[in-house]
Formats: sequence, C-alpha cells, structure tokens
Amino acid sequence: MGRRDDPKARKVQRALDELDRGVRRGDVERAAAALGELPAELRAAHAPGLAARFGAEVADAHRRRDWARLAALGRGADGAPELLAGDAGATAWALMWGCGRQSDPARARRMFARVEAETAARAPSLARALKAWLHGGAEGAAGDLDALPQLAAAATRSGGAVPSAPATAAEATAAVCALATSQPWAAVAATLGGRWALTGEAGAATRTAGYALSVREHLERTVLGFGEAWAPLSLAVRMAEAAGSTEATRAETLELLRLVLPAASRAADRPPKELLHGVIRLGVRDVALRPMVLSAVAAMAQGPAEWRARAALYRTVYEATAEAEAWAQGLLAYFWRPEADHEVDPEPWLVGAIGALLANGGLAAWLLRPTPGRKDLLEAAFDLMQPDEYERLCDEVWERADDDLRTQLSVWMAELIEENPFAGMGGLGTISPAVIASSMRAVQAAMFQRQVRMLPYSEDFFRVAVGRAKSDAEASDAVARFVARGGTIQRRLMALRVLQEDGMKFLADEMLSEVLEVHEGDATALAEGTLWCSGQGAPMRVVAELAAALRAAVGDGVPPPGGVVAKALMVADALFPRRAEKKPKKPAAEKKPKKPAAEKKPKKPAAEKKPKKPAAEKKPAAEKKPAAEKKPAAEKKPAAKKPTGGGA
Amino acid sequence: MTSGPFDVLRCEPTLDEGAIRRAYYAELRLHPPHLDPDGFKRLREAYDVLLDPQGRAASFFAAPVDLHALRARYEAQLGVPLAAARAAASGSERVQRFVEGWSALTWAEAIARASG
Repeated sequence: MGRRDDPKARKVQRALDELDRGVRRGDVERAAAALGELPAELRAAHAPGLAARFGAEVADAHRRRDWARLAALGRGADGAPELLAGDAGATAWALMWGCGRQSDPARARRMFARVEAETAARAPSLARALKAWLHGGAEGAAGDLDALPQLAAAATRSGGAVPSAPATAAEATAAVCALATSQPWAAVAATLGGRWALTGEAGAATRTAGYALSVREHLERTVLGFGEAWAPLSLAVRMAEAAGSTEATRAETLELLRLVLPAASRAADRPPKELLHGVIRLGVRDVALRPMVLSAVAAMAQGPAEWRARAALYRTVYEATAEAEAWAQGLLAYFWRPEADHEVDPEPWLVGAIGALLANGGLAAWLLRPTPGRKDLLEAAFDLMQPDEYERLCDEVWERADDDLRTQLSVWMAELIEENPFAGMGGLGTISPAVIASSMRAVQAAMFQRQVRMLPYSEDFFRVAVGRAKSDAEASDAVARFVARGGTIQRRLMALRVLQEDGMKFLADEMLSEVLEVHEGDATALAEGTLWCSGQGAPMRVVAELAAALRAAVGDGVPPPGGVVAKALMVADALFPRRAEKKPKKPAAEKKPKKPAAEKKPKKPAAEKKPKKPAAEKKPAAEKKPAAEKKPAAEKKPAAKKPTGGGA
Repeated sequence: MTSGPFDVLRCEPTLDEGAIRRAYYAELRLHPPHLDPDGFKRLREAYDVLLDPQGRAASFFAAPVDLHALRARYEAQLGVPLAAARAAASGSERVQRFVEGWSALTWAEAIARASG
C-alpha cells in the first residue's frame, strides 16, 4: 500500500501542508493548530521555527487584552506543548488568563502548572490566589487576596456606583481609598478632579488625600514598571493647584517638580507635555520658587531643534506670571531658531504681549539688567514691534541705561542704519514693489528711519538724523533731542560741529550762541570746551569765541596751575594773544581799565542778561517750529545778537 | 560616577540655605583643609555651587529622587486605609477586581508587584 493510501500519512501530510500554509500566511493560530496534529517527533522538529512567532502573537494579544484570541492560542499550545518549551513563563501566564477568563479552567490550570513553581517561590500569595481561582473561585483565598497589593489602575467595576464625597475632613482619607479600591484610575481622576467639590475643610482634606493617592499610584507604577506611570501625576498637579495657597502646597510643588523636571530631559520615558507644563505652571505660581523654576526651565530643551519646545515652556511661564523674563526668553528661543526654520512666523503670544510689557515697563526693566542676549533681544524685538513701539522702548531704556547698554543700543542702531539699502532714496515711495517684497526686513528698517528719523542718541545717529532732515525744523528737533541727552558743553559742541559740517550755518550759529549763553561764567566748562574744540580741529572762530568767554569767566582771577582752566588759558593765549595788554605806549591817564570780556562782545551787560536757565526751560521755541517743546531756538539770542568779534 | 553637591555635603537635596550651611560646617570638621586638602577642595566646590541660587536650584532639581523611600512614605500614609477599603469590599467584587487587575499584567510585572 502506497503512502497516498495510508490515512495516517495523509493526515500528517495535510497537517504539514496546513502548517506550511499557516506559516506562510502569518496565521500563527492555524499553524499552531496544525502543529498539534503532527506526531511528537515532527512537532519537535517543526515547533522551534514557530515558537518565537507564537510567543510574540500571545504577547500582542495579551497587550490588547484579547482573551478570546488568547484562549484560541491556548488550545494550540495545549495540543503542541513544544511551542512553550523554551518559554520563560510569560507566554504560559498570558494563555492561562485567556483560557481562565474564557471559561476553560482545565486548560488554564495546565498553563498555570508551567509557572506555578516559580510563582509560588517568588510570590506565594499570588500563587495561592491563582490556584484558588482556577479551582472554582478565589473567595476561599480571601486572606491571600488581601495580602496582594491593590491594583487601583486596573480595577474595574462595570456599572459600580462612585462613592459619595466625604462629609467631614475625618472621612476624607477613607473615602478616597474607597474610591481608589472600587473604581478604575480614570474614574478616580474624574471624581477627584471635578465630580467631588473640594471645598471647605472636608474638601481640603480630600485634596490632600487625593494628592497622596496620586503620587503613590505614580510611584507604584514607576517602581514596579507597569501602566502609564505619568498619568496619576496629572491628578496630583490638579490637587496641588486646587489648594490655592502656594505656601501650603510648596512641599507638594517641590516634590512634583523633582519627579517631573529631570525626566523631561531624558530621551525615554519623558513626561507628557501637558504634565510638564502643568508642573511648571504650578512651580512659577509660587513667587518664592519662581526663580528656581526658571533656572530649571532654562536648562531644559537646550538643543537647537528643540526651540519650539523651549518657546512653549516660556509661553506657559509667561501666561502664568506675565513677566518680561519669560517673554524675552521665549522670543530669544524663536530668534535663535535654526536656519531651516527661518521662515516660521513668531507665535501670536509673542506679538500680543508687547503692548502689556511696554505699558508696565517690564520689557525695559528686563533690558536694563545685564542679561546675556540683551542685544539679540533688541534685534528680535525690532522685527516684531511697530516703529513707534520700538522707539518708545529705546527711549525708555536709554533714559535709564548704563554705559554698556547704551553702547549696545548704539551699535545696534548703527547696524540698522548700515543694513538699510534704501538710505537716501527719498523714502519708500521710490522703492518698487518687487524690491519691497524681496526684503521686508530692509523695508522695515527704511520705514523706521523714515517715520522716527533715527534716535539721535549718539553722535553717529545724530549725524544721520541731521543729514536726512528734510527741513530746518527737523534738523532743529534732532539737535534738541541730541543735546537733551546730557547737556554738557561737549555735547553741544558736537552738535555744533555736525551742523557746521552739514552746512547748516544758521543752526550752527544758534548752537554756538547757546553754548556761550548756557555756559557763561562757567570757567571749567568753557575751558573743557576750548580744549575739546582745539583738539578736534574746530573752526578757529568757534575756538576764539570760547577762549574769549573763558577769559571773561576767569577775569582777574588766577586759576590753579595744572588745572583744566589753566591749560585752556594757555591754549587760548597761544592761539589768540591778548593784544590789548601789548599797548604800553598809551598815557596812563588815557588808559582805560581792562575791559571785562563781556564788554568786548556785543552782548548784554551781565545785569541785563536773563538769569541762566536750566536746560529744560530753554526748550520751548514754540514760535519757531512744530516740534516746539524740544527746541529753544526762539528764546535764544536771535542771530543778529550773535557775537561777531574774536573770530579767526 | 560623579556625585552631586548634595552628596558631597551628605545632606538631603534642599533649597534651604541654612540647612546647606549646617551640612557644610558639619563636613568641614571631617575634612579640614590642613588635614584633608583634597576633601576640603571637593567640599568647598560643592558648597560654592549650592550657595549660588541658580546652582542650588539646578542641583536640587537634578538630584535623583529615592523613589523607594518615597513610595514607603506614601505606603505608610495610605497602606492601612487602603487595606481597610479592600476588606470592606464583598468577596465576589474582590475576585473580579483580582482577575481584572492581575490578568492585565505580564508575568514579570505580576511577580514584581506581588513580591514588592
């Protein structure tokens, strides 16, 4: 009789074909069932090739809690125990639950037998409870069930009523524990996070117990390595937030920060973004902890590709605190983004916060601190702000800035001017739309210059402002603003020099008059001015005027040798010798007493002169130009009264 | 392995400057500069880090949390009331919870959980 006629051989062949088909199609259940049809020696030969896939299939079904699938796979494993030969117990454990939950206790017991010894050795209570369950119910093993840890995360009670909220503080812990032992974690979180009103003393005690339960659940899951370990901490954050008082919850806040923040920098097991932001919000809510939390945030998300995460963290801090620090750091995160993201627009919150930060002075205060990134922030803010906002910021900062910041501001403004390719083109009207579209940044710079006409804070800007002035009034306004930032004789003389170099003779003469009037009688200032002008190569007419004023201020007095006045007098004498003293031929009777310097010039006698005004009073010039309050020109000596003598 | 500044001062991570000072002076007695210059140098460096508010904050938040000790603390707080709540549940509910809870764990998780 041939093999084809042998029923056993045909059955084996069919099983082999079925096994092959199952393997090829990835149908592990079918392959396992076919394997079970083979004689022992063939099972032993074919099982190793299937065991790994079988184990993976079981693990996947267990993860999905597909008990029916596990029961079916259990039937396959029961027929072909070779599939479990190399298994450490995990597959048999899952199959045991599948069979047990699908009312197949006999097969479940056989699966349990494979793990019973080790389970009994390592977790005797669990082994006894399982054995009791597999033999007809675990009620008999009540003591063992009580000895097992509570699995709040996995506990379910379909249709079970949520316990009622505790009425008193004394009942709170028991109520929270009853909730935890009767409901799945999602229901626990929903109940404590909203269904129970956490008000009054009972509410406070419930919140405290809820916080402890949440952290305990997180620790259980973390230490024992199961479930979503971070999920319970979201409830812990809500419980800490519900407390309201930051003093009372400082310890809880610190605990949460320590549990969450270090994990945020880990590649694996990173906390969810919502949790991280929630913990940071909680941390910065406490003013005492805020600087420390900000330090911790600064150390997070350092990589260039993480700029979005970094900006988002600062957004959370800003929304919780409305502090300029968070806004500035968020803007810097955006500003320092990698080149690949340069087309990304700033987030609306960065733009939206500008008004408030300008109004409360927070942004200026931030810039006034010697913080790294100050200059970058100035540049970044320029891209975001309207020209008037930016000018306001610069004005405010300049008023209170130290030398370092003023230098930074000056450098930055100089860069802005350098970058502007449309300088001198007569404004935006002459620029073609194509050019505008090609360089929005340059257009912004051009608009800035056109609309606010520079900030004449440093000599360079003043020079540009005067050079671009479209009228004497504009130039005069720039002069007033430049001089107002200091009011020293050097500053006025700088203005004078720029005006002369730009050919604005009228304004230059006015400035010289102002210098002589404001500093009249101030020998030190006039001496400094004389020396400054002679050193700077100023026109001799100006040096002569100053020298004359200096001589008048000194009068017959003898300045201390080596001082600035003495030095200036030496320079003056060298440049403009006192000719009047070289006329000894006049008879003594005709000799007039030495004229005071003031009489040599067509100035009013000292008595007729107005008293010296503070710089502020000298600014009105209402009749002269629109920017009246900034320019004192009209009240200054008219051009006709200007001194004419002594010029070189 | 390098130890953090709190380890060098042998004190629990804290933001309390007073506690840090006390820990420093306690350790200083054990590592006086004339007898243990290396130990003193280490101690002083750690102390300087912790005196700086930013360094203190960074060290505090970077210091590892002893999860087992923390877990034990919360177990001491809630272990008894949770056991009482479990005991109050009926037998069949307890069995149902047992099956629901433990069947979802892998074998390794279950062994760890039951023996932990």
